[in-house]
Amino acid sequence: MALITIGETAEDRGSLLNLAPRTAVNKGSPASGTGTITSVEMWLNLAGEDIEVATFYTTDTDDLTTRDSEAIGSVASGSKQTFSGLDMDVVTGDGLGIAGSAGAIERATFGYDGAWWIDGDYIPCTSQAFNWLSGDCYSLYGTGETPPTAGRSWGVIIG
Amino acid sequence: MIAKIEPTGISVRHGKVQLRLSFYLEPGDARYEEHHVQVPVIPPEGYLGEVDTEGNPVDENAYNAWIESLPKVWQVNPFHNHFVRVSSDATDMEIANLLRDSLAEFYGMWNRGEDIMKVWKAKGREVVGDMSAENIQRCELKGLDIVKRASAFEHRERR
Repeated sequence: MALITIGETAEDRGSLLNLAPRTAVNKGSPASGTGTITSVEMWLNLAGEDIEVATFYTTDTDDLTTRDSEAIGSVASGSKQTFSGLDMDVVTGDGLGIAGSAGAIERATFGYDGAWWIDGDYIPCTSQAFNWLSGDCYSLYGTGETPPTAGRSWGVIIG
Repeated sequence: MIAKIEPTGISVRHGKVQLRLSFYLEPGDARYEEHHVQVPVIPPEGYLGEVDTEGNPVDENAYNAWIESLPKVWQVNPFHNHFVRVSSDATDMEIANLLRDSLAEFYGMWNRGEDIMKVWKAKGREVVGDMSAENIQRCELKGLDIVKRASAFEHRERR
């Protein structure tokens, strides 16, 4: 099994994106493999409520569809919050996104590969048009694993 | 250190009851200060600047400046959160053991200075539970029961 990474490091950044309610998706650092996202980390500037995370793929330049999602619940602000034990499908090239009814996520406004956002909770969604932010990123990152490959066994017969 | 069930993170997933376990540090625990943080206090009237139809600030810079201007209070955030899935007939003892064992596992990683996102590995793909409507309903009822009694499962570990 190989490590999968998705999204941008969860850290204290210079700006924020309000999630009240909003959906935000990182384009930069897309999923490095196909398999399962098992851990996610985020850094919120204001405490989040009804937080969900999801893997997204594009059906057109700025049209996104959710592949899989997890309900996280309330999330504290002011330090990096990590969540393991998740079981979320991911395919190479997917972006990691977040939605919530309250809260704000740490955000950089330049120097990254860009990010999407839209007013409202769009987890799940199908071919939904998002707004584009060039150079932005959110403090939202995940790791996971590719499925195990079929192994070979060498039997030893002792007679 | 303390392990709690986070009621807002309980859901039904893959035919099982998904529980969110949240782990907190106490003074004297390793790296306590990393999650003993100051957070802004949002006044009851909320943000009084211009907002759009969804309630989101129109001027992000003005909103960021408002956040920075707010008084702050100290709080202790979880040092980690972990999701587990149990069957609808899981006993209180089984859930209590999950809390105790998970706290020991994750505090061990934390105390050794390890990056939980890199070190923790899922123990294989879990078997999906019974997806029948009857079992899903049993899981929902079990989840609601645990939400009501979440504080009773709190587990404190003395170092």
